[in-house]
Amino acid sequence: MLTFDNVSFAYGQQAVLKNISLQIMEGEFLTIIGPNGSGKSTLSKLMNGLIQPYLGQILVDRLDTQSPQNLKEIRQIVGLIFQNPEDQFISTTVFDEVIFGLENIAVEPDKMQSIAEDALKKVGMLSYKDVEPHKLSGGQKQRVAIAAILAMKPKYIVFDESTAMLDPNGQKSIMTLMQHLHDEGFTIIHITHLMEEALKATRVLVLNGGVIVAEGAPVDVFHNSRVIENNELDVPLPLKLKGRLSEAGIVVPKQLVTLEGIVDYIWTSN
Amino acid sequence: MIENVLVGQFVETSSVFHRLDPRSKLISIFCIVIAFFLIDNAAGYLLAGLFVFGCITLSHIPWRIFLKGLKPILFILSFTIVYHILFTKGENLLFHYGILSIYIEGIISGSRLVVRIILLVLITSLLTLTTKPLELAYGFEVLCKPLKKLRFPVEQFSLMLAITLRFIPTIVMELDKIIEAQKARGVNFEDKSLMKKVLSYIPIIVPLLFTSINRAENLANAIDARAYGDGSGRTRYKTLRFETRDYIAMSISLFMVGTFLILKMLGG
Ligand SMILES: Nc1ncnc2c1ncn2[C@@H]1O[C@H](COP(=O)(O)OP(=O)(O)OP(=O)(O)O)[C@@H](O)[C@H]1O
Ligand SMILES: [Mg+2]
Repeated sequence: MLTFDNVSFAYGQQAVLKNISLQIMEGEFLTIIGPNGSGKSTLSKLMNGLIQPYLGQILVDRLDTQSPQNLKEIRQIVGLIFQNPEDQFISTTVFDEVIFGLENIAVEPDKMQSIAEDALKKVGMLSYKDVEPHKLSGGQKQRVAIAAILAMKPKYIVFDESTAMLDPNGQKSIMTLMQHLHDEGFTIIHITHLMEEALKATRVLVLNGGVIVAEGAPVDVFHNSRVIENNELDVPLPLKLKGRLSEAGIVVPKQLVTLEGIVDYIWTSN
Repeated sequence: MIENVLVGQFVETSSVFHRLDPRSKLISIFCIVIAFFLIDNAAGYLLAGLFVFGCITLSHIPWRIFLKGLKPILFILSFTIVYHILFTKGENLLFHYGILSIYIEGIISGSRLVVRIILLVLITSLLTLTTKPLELAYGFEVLCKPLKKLRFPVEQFSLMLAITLRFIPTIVMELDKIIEAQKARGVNFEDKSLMKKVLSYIPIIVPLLFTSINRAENLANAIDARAYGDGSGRTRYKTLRFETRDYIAMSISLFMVGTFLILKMLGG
């Protein structure tokens, strides 16, 4: 379990997060949304001790992120995937990139190759093993970043707008991968500004001005028009469609949130 | 262009030099350079020349690649020889006109120096032509390990070197993009006057600096997030191991130092 207990954070004088209390359970798929500058990235950096709160406490499986001796373990448990594919690729080849993290957590050298190859296989990048980063697309680089985290055997994987710089195909493939990882038992924390992506979560959290302003199942959050308007959120397309349909007298059950689901419902319900 | 910067000067062949441990190559080249500085007679030059010739032949790398490496120092070489010919005084006057007098000694000492520089450049290119930059950096790191006792941050230095190598192609691509973008905005890079030329590069340098600083911060986060810590307590995937060929290479180099030392004592 990942726990935020009354956490506040500021960059200099500027308060960025105010009194955040939050629990993330193992096996969750949590999506965090909110306008620009609302503190989402700050929240993600607090989760593995890249930055420290000035008030409150963050516990990762009972390890306090504020104790320096916990940091190595915490960073192994909580993997972070960033937005920019280029700026998180440190090594000169795909294989070396995965090895880098293994070296950091002092894995035995004999075991590294098979661990790295397994991780690359999982994200479908094994055949690119010896390729240099400048020959990869953004989506491929993000896959390698995910493999590099997977190799370290984390429990929680945090994606901070990791699809934002990708083309639609890249976005879709990373989302699918995220879903697979969740099915395999990883806890996923996904920061995004794409509302369609947010629908995939088991829980959505809306951040605005450094406070949690709404939280709940995606359908509930997006059906709450007050939350939507107050936080400049965009209603996901399937929900927009449902709204229009109900204006026309067709009421689609609440739990259906994909376009396919709605279409199926309409043509089978009569 | 990007390809060139990434591999440095590395040329793939299957020579024995490619298979040597980067550490033994560094040590050997260091010895050879010292040996070449000891040369001061014709026998020495002959021996050194033969040695370099033998090494280059063994490397299976075409001569023209080595010769290309000499091109950038052509100016220094010609300057050296002209300087020696004009200003070295000696016993045997070859030519005299007005204030200009050329001695045989000048020609000899100039050519000696030039030959020595050429030999040094050829033998050090052998190192960079047969070793990938990253391997070289790693060999360097391992050799520098003792410096850790003096608090020199060996690991961090090596990571820095590796990241630099990693980002050269990225930055070159970015540079291309910025230049294209600024050209599209009408910035003229073909101006003849030096001042204008310098000024026209400001719209390139500033965006490049900005993105690079931004990138440095992101990179630092990515490295920290993956538990690099302070670089201590890591294991390494590649472990370097000396083979018989490495001991042979280092022995030959030491033998060269000895030989040139003896030649120097005999000669002088
Ligand atoms: N390194 C920093 N130094 C100073 N202020 C910062 C720093 N990083 C972020 N901020 C400020 O903190 C606030 C929250 O930033 P944060 O990056 O957490 O927002 P975000 O929700 O991730 O926004 P976005 O959607 O744009 O990614 C912003 O006002 C931002 O300007
Ligand atoms: Mg952000």
